[in-house]
Amino acid sequence: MGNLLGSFNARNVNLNMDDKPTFDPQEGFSYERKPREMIAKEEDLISARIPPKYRDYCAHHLLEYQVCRYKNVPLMYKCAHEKHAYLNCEHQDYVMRMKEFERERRLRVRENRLIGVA
Amino acid sequence: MLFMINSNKMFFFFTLFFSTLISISSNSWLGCWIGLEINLLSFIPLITSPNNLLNSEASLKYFLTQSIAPINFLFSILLKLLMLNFFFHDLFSIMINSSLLMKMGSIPFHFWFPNIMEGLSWLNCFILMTWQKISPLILLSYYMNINFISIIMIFNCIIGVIGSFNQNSIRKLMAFSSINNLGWMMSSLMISESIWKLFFFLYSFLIMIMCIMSYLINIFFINQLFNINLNFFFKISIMINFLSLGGLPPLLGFFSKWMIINFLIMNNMFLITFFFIMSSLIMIFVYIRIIYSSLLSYSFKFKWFKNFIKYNYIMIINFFSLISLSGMIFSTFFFI
Amino acid sequence: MHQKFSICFISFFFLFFFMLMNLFMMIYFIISNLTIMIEWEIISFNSISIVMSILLDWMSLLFMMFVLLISSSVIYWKKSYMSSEINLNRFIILVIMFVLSMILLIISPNIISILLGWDGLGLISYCLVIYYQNVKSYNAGMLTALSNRIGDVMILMVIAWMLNYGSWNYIYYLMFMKNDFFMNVISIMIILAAMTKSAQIPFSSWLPAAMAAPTPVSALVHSSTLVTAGVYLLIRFNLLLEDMFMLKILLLFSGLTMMMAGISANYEYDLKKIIALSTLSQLGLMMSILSMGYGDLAFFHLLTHAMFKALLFMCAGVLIHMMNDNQDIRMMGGLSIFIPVTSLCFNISNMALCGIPFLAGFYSKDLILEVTMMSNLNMMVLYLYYFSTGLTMFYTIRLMMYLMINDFNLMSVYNLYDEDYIMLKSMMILLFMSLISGSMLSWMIFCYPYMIFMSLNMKLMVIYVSLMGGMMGWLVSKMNIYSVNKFLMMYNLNMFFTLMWFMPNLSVYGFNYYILSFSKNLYKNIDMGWSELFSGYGMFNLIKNYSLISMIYQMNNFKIYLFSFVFWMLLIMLMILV
Repeated sequence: MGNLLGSFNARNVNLNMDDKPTFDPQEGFSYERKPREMIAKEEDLISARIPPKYRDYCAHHLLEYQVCRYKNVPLMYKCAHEKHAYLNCEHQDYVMRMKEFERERRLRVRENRLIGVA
Repeated sequence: MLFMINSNKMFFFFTLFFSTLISISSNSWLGCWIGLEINLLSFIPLITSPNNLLNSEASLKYFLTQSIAPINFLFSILLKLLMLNFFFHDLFSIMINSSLLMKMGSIPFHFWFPNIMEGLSWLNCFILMTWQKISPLILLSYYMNINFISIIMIFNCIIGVIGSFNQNSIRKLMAFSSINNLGWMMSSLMISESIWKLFFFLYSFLIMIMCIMSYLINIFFINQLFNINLNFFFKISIMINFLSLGGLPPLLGFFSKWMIINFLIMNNMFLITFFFIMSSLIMIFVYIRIIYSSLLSYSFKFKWFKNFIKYNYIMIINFFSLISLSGMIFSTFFFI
Repeated sequence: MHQKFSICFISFFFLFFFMLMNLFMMIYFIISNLTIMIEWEIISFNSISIVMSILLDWMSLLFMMFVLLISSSVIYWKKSYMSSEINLNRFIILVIMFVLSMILLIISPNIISILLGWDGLGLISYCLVIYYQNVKSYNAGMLTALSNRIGDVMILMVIAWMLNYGSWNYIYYLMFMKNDFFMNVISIMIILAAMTKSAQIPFSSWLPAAMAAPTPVSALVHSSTLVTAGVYLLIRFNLLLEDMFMLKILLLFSGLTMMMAGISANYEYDLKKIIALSTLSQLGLMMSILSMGYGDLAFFHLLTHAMFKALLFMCAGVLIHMMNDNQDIRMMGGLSIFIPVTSLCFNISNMALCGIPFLAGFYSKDLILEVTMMSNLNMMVLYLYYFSTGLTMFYTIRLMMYLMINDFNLMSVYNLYDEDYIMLKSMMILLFMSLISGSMLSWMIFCYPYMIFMSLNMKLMVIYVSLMGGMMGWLVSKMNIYSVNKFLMMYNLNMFFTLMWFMPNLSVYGFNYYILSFSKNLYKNIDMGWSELFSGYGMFNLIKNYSLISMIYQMNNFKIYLFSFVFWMLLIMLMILV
């Protein structure tokens, strides 16, 4: 429901949660934006048998966490640091996606306004 | 038991045994006929007894029918040897097969069989049902007309079932069940002799248990079973052996029937298999009627007496019932 | 030296030992992500192969461990609870058979052995519910058995439909056959089966009625094992069910179950019925989070709920014993002063049920609510979840007020006896587990942690509704004889709520007449009618008539036999000569 409330404003510009950004990524920024890169290697992810759903940009923290769990079984509370690092990375990824969503919405609103003028 | 008492009967018992061996292992048809005649001659003294009217009537009937059959057999083989062309092969084989069918007591000449069984004691019944069937069956396999015998064996099963359905007397019932099993045995002859050997051995084993049990408690009719207070394991033995005779898995009697069905299906004889299975179903119903009367009824009046059976016979019965119960599992070890 | 152990103690020992074995295996299996499948091929011909399989992965081992722990505690507790029972052996054998069929259901990856476990569960729970043989138990048992039977029929139909796929191991087909029409039908039937077993909305009338069973039965069966069998089945099938329409219907029904059970529990005065309705509410929670796709969260809540619900039932059993078999909470009160240890267990399990922080229920329930808040749903589902959480707190605080804090209300002489050490020991095991199992499981199960990110008010919503519920509970328990209430105005609404939205009437008075009369027609016409003519008595008559005809041929003169033979030979010879 949080996502519903968050996308409530975006219903005017026909923007849904699953849409990809359509504008130029560099537009409006004064500095150079690099595309995101995966730090974890592909063969590491395959050999650790992590499901495809979790192979995102934070997967290197996930691998560290799995290694720490394997070493510390059954006292897995000792892995709190690695889990916290992974969740922080996920949180930053979520915030980044939220900001991208908002950027897309504002650019569309601006475009509607510009088209409305012209 | 009875034979061991009377030395005359012992002699005829040996002659009976050897007559079958002569008939099976002879090189020419004449030897076969000799064996059949000696079979007849040695069985008649075994079943006569001067005290019982029913017994002597049965032996007379047996003599009449069984003398016609080997004579006809001799006639047909001589005729066949004389006519040297192969054109009449079917007809000669049908003639020889029919005379052997009459000797066995199979359809369509089975009418003497229940009548005579009614007059015999249990041990003579056992010999009539099992041993007397060996030589005609093997002779049948030497010159069998498959088309004719296929029809005959289907009718065997059906008439065996239908005839036994309304019977009160256990001897007649066993006669009809023997006719039923004759059908199965004839089909096993069509496949191979090893299968026939297996079936015949298991069948005669189960019939032996039945006859010994019935001899020990001296019953001849189904309603006698209601009044007997036997000990529990004897009743269980009756149940196991009858069900095994009917062919219920996992008892021993199922093994023979299963092998025959397996090989019949492998040889694509589906109609015969169908008739066999259906008749076997109704036959089990008939057996279960007997079992239920012995096992499940318990009335107050016969708590006052108890039937005792001699100890060494109980051991034999228990041992054989154990084999009948677990035989299939052990037999798998032999076929590895 | 020759010490006699009672059967309770022996079975407790074996189950506990088996549970420890499972514990070690389970930890190994989680870490190395191992799944072992043991198969025995019974028969295989043409294209059907019947195999008996056992699937051991971490989920089944973990569930087995919990089932065994709870059942061993309950069996040990039962030694003192049913010490005056004559046929105790019979009872314990029934309970052990129940545990065995539950284990069979847990470890089976194919539908046939699930059916064996499922049917075993239904049948044995019927035998256990009717254990005290009075009229109320009979009715309750019949209701239980027949509701479960609908689920059995559904699984039987699944077996029939799965003949399409060549084997009954549904594990292999879950992800690959999602678009197949037959798999859709199978999934609808599986959902229906799980709904009957886990007592969701149309079929939820049996769970409060089944409280007529002895309390150990309720503790084992109706808290953790029987009713979670449906949830477990859906967890196994979760990969198949993920994107289907029927799952949204399940979400609706289970949310409604949650709310209805919470409301009805507020009007109840029977201790065991309140606990039953609380179980029903938590089951609705499990089913609804399952229908949103989060199967492992549902599993987690299943396990922690099993712990504290079994403890709650055991405490309720102790209370009922003390109150001279009286189950009405209006007759109890002030118990925290008289029986401190039992009321300690009771309070801790109640608070774990509500989701008080850092007890067992908090980890599962709070995680579920936060994940719900993060996902993309509409307002009604959110309302159902949070309102039911508030209702949970409502009836819990009401129960605690009635039992523990208000004045003592028993009408006659009492015997508040706390020092029954057998019962206390088993309750201590479950108490320990219900304290630590939440955090222990949340570390072990979740290899891939859930990230939660919400604003302050959303996060505090749980606390808001809990506080509201608590305050309402406190207010309601302060009701006196002389309080000014307009009872008669709200009479209809109150009857609607307390009678579980009139749904038991659906399964008792509503449909039954028509269905039973239809069944009577079928029975008279087919079972006692044509079917007897064609297969039962008719065939007997037919064969008997044939046999009579054949006997006519038997009773003949002897010379006719011989003459027939001679005639046959003559016929054949004639054919030769001609």
